[in-house]
Amino acid sequence: MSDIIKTGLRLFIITAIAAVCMGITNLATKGPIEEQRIANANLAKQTVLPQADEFTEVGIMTEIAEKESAKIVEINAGKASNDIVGYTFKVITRGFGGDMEVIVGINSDNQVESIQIGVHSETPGLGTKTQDDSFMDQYKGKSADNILSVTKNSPGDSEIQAVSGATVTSDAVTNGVNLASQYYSEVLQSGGGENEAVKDN
Amino acid sequence: MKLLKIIKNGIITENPTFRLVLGMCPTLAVTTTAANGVGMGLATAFVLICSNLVISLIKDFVPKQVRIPAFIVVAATFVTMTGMIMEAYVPALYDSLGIFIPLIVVNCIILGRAESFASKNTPLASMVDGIGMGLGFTLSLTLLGIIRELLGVGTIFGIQAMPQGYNPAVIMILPPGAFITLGLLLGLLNKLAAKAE
Amino acid sequence: MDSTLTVSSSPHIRSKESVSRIMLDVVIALIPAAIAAVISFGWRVALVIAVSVLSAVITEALVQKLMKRPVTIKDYSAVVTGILLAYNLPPTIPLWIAVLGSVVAIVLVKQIFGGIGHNFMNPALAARAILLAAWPTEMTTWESSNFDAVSNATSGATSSATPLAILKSGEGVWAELPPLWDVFIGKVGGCIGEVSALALLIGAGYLLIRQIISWRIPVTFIATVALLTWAFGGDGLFTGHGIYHIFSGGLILGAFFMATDYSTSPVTPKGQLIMGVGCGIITSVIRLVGGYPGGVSYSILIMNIATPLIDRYTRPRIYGEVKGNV
Repeated sequence: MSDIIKTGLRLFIITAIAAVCMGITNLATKGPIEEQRIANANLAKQTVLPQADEFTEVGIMTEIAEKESAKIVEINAGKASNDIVGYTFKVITRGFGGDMEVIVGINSDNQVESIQIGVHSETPGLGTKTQDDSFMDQYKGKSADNILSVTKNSPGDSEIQAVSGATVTSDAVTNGVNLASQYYSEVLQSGGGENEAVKDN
Repeated sequence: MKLLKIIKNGIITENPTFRLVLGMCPTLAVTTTAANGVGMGLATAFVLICSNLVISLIKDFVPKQVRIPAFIVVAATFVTMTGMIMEAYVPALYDSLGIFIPLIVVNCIILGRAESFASKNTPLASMVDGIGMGLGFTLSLTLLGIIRELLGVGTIFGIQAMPQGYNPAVIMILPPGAFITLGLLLGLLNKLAAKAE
Repeated sequence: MDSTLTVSSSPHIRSKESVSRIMLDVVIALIPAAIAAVISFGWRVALVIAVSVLSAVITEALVQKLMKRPVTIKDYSAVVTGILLAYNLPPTIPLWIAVLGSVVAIVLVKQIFGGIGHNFMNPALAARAILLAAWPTEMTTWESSNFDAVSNATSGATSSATPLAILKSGEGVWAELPPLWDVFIGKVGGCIGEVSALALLIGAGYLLIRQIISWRIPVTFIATVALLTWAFGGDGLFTGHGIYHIFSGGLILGAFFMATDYSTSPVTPKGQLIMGVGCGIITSVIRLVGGYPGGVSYSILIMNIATPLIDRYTRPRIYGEVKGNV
């Protein structure tokens, strides 16, 4: 009996010391980790809307933000010296290998500023080529009023050239961008100043 | 002199990857680039050195019946701390090693060395064993990472190493590439070892 | 090798069969498909086949020299591997990929495991799987067949979806499917060797008549695929394009020429039936719910690995032994 108690006690001491060590490390690293996470979250927004230096999340009107092929999960208003210079959208869209995250920045000139691909599970070497600048740059400067479509041949004004062998992924990205543009023109563009009202939704 | 021998043992004679074939999960999963290989290797080496030292220090205090849970607690503590420190100060590496950091706990090398070396030797020798094994693991992972990155992306440590026209074989940075590379390296090294003997 | 043979008691039957004769028959049986491919895609495929065969044979000779084994390139097995590999490549494939594929097939899959008879997977298929994962863009760029190139000479270089890719896209676009007859004779896009079911069947018939292969694996394989894709391929039960599935993709090529490979398929009749059905089930699952349009090559590779197990459990009872004693 005393053996069990002795064994248990010793194991307890070991685990207690371990817990203290981890606690101290946690205290020391908590701050930097938190900063790191915020910086990470801002990085994507900053890339798609570089002219903004501050982002505030705005509410989403779900009936417009959800479609069969894509869904807006987060909208941020980008501000530079307190003026709204555009919005960033985080859209979940259905790719070839499952859900993929597309981050779209639309500026107040009514144009797609830039896009980024977030978490995804597309085929390496095929679907992942949509992350190449040559593909993503095609979206730059497209008007948010147009619905973009994907083509296999040389693209026209509101067309995007698909990545060869990865039409499904190209479609998915384009669907995401379209949904963001549509939401922007229907909800945010007109009411740029009534931002607070949007938030209440 | 004896300590040098322990280090050589870890790097060559009983190389954890190519001779003991331990810790295959991180070996196969994270060696997509040379940098990842180095990162994972050094993180494991750090945990291994610390846990070897601590286990050797407390080996008389730990009751025999519960030594395995005690060893795991020690290893897990260092892994958790490593994870937190990496996330705080080297976030880029933390992002790419991701879920494999917590998995260092169950890396057979840690428990294997604790059981077969640290619990029987002096703290100094145990630490040196940790250094040797850790270096051996790091070198093996780096080698795998270099080969896979070179063929799969055309770069080494992110620097273009293949001629411009090279069309990278994507398979090398996918799981099958890990198995193919490891298998061929194991075969080659066994052949060389057999020749040396 | 010969020295390890043990001489058993008489009677001895001497067969005229030899490895090289069998392999030569397979080569002969594969020729009609090559002709069909050249008609379909032009002379470039002949070049691809030649490059693939040559590099397979040269690699085999080099590796055997290097490993100090007897050089056995005269048994035609490397030729067969080269042809089958080329048949699994798209017509537009860069030649260096064909060369690399042959090297992978011969070195990694065949010689490292001990040469002919010791490989645990079909070398050509394993090489194709590796190439597909390594260079997915080059391996999935299809050119439409220029069978009727005269009528639309300008569109020769446009990439086109294969029938299987269309089937995969769902019922909505099934109207785009080329007519079944075109698929049968090879007026569609696809890999070099799988394009004409007719030419492949001619070769398969030759092999069956010569008794090089048995009907068991191919027939059960194809029947299983037809049944499953018919039953589950459509929106409702039994509305799928079962017949269409038979003639598209690499099913005919795989079932007759690759699933029947001696060293990687079961030797017992019951085992061969299991192999065929197993291949059929895996192919159907990949075609209907998997990520790739075609699943023939993966199904054969998976069943290749299962072959030792199948052989073990279908071993016939030894005469004179009491059941349960074996």
